[in-house]
Amino acid sequence: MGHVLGDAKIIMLKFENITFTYKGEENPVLKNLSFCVEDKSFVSIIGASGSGKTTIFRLLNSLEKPDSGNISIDGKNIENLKNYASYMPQQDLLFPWRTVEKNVMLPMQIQKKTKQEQVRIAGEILEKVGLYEYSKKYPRELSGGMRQRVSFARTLCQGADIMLLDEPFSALDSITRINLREWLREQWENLDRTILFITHDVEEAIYLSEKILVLTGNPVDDIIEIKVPLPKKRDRNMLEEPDIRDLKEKLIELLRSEAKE
Amino acid sequence: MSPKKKRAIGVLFLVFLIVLWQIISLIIGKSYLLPGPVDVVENIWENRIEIFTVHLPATLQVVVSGGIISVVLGFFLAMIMDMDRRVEKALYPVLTATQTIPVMCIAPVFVLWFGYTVTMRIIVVVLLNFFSVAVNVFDGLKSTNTGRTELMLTYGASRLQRFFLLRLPTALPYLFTALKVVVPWSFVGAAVSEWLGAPSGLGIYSRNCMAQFDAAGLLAPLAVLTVLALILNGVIYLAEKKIITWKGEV
Repeated sequence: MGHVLGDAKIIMLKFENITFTYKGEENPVLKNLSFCVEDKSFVSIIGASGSGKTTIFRLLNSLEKPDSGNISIDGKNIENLKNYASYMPQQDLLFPWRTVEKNVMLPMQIQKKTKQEQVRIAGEILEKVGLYEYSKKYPRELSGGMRQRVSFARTLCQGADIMLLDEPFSALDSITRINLREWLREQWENLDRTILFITHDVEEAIYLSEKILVLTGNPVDDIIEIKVPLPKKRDRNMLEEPDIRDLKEKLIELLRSEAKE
Repeated sequence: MSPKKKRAIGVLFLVFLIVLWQIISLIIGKSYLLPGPVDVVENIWENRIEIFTVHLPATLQVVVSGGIISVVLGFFLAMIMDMDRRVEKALYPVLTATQTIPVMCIAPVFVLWFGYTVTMRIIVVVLLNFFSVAVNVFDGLKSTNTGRTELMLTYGASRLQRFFLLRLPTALPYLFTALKVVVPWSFVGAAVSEWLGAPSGLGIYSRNCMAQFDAAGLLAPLAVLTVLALILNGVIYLAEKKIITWKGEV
């Protein structure tokens, strides 16, 4: 579901005039920042290191409170919501004492779903991410890429319509990264969910997203929105097309100039 | 070096020490001064009924009760210190202070209060042990990964859910570390408290033998205690290996 605005676009997430300063710091990280994410879209946020990408997620997850401004999901202020977003952290953060299945069941266990329901949903989702046969394995028995897929399955089990993915592939080797990038895009096509994805990798952002939000300013006070001119069905070769290469160069230049500021 | 080889080296060294002890004792030739391991084993065999049916059960009662109370009390203290920083600030220095008093010196006070009773002996064992449980478990709870805690918060986990699903399993390896200290020290505590005076127990048996200048009799109950403590510690090691399969991964 989503919140319909005047221009008839369905908005899932709205970040309105947010200013935020970390405790004990003088200067804000974000200043009067606003942006929207449309329902069922795949949107990436990119920005130079330390630009405030993760801060945006911390605010969205209510781990921090903004100094001023409003964050709403599906038209409702997040202050009054519970379980409104599914979050996938940078590291997999799987619990080593739990099997793959039990890790995936964790959010549902916290939501106090029945045991049968937990097992059924976890089974379905593990099947979907191609890890059903690893249900009874422990995280230490899996490769880095598989662990991230388990982490993604766990995020799906949280069940919210919007998923917040915080640089989930940053710790992986380049081949696994490329494989998982393609895998994630396929997952999203079949999922019917909104994904907000943080990355510092320009190519990853282009390949995955419909729209890219580039954080600008120090403190971040504006966002440049860039629509990715790629069709829904994508493959890696499309990244070599001239207009996509131009877009990549443009984004890199933009990030470089931001980093210098 | 393979674990099997390491274990073999440990066993061989122990055998070497026992043999050395026997040789030195034979050279000295005065078993009332330095009885050899053979004398000690002979003494255990001669007094087996008294040792295993009268004194050992009495000591084990103190060891087991004292050990369990130490773990429960230490765990409870760790939990309440972890829940509230003010409790930690108030309690931690007091707990540390209890450990600066030598147990041998404070134990007679318990004799005054409780007499030569089981209660007195259990208190000595608890006093020796609860601190290492409290400190280890507390450190374990504090070592919980912040990222995992925040992840649980995004799932909407309550404080209780965070404790049972995350903090407690994180602290479990630390509890095992504490248990490996608690087992031998419970035996030490029981023996020490019995030396002060008790109707039965391996400690008092040992003291009585000393009064009769029976050196082999003095060492016999201590040898039984040592073997038992080693066996129990082995059980703890095995349980740890079976339960804490993720050791070092958190």
